[in-house]
Amino acid sequence: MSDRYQRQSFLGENSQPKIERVRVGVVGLGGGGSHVVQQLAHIGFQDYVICDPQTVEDTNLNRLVGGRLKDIGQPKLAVAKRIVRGLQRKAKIKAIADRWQTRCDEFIFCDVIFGCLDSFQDRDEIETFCRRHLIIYIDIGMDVHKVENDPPRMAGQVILSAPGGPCMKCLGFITPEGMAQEAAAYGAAGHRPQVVWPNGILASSAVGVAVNAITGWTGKTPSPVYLSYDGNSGLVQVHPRLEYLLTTQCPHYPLGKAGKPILQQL
Amino acid sequence: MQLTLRIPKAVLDEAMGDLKRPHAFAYERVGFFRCRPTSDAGLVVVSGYDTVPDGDYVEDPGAGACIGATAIQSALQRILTHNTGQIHVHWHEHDGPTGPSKTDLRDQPRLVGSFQNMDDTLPHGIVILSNTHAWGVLLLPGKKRFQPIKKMSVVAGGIDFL
Repeated sequence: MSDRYQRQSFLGENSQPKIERVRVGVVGLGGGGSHVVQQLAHIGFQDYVICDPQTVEDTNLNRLVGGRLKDIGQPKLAVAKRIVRGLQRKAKIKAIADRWQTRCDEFIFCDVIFGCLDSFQDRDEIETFCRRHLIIYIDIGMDVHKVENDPPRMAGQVILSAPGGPCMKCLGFITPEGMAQEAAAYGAAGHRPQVVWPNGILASSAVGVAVNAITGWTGKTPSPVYLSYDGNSGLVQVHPRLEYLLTTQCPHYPLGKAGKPILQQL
Repeated sequence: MQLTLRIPKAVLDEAMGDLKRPHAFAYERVGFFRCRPTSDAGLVVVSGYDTVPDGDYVEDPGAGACIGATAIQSALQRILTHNTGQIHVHWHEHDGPTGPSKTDLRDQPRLVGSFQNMDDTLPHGIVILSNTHAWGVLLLPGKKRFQPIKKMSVVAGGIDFL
């Protein structure tokens, strides 16, 4: 093991080769994804598929890790690549400056995909893709809600959705009502509140979940993982819904439906 | 092409639990993974496991396990009914890397060839498991030669490479 990783050797004897063997995807390289990519590079991941169609704007710089003034107008991908290359010169990086859906085949060989996306629709689509290809999906996200005269409420989540196990619909995170509200508000939302520190907390928690999934260093690799973040108190805890899950099997994505869709004539 | 096979851990556990059971006269057991192609020929995913019932083994002193016509017909029927490829799987009782015996190499490719005759749009193949590793080859859609599986991963809340 290289000296660089001495202090993470507690992850297990063969952890570093395993980390290096994993192909990791990161979809969305803004506030959350930029943190995730940076941490993955520090840990020693060597094989990346990263994706974001956007360029850096001044309004991103309150939270885009690695972003600099002179990056304005440059692709967010360039910032992410620079972060990875600054730590891992030989890393394989497939960079996609497009929506992930248009180049989804590039993600097929990922072992783990981080979704740092804003909409339920995007999350639903990427989870479906991951289930079909038996890929571990890790979702992060945050939002700030204003309720009447109360102070704003900041909340977020980290979810690990694994093939065969409960999905984000089973967990009650993706609901028909939420999807419908989002669709109804399409185009009218304006900029959503985003700040750097909750993204950092959620990204760190998500990377920790991924490293445990890969190395098994805690002796347990639970599925699903559902962590909720209360940004007002700073507390990250296991979401109470996990206690009330009725099944460990997912009715929405049964394992038998993995692979290419089957067209059946009626 | 780097051929990858992904196996859900629940399916692998089911298979190992089944294959490790003793049989009245066979020295080892065999089973079948159900598998599906993806939009990239280099990735095949396992979607289930089917046991071979005790009564479908036949006595053959020349092989660790020999299955009869009923077991083979059942596998062929699954191809038609469920639109899934069939991967012949058995377990070698040791740790570390494993591989096929002479008997495995003699008999199993012919069986897999008959799966391909049933439906050559699906992948079919052979996987041999040890306690810690695995070996495997697949006959991909439209191909006449077996391709070695380069990366075999086991997926649940964690990920392992065999």
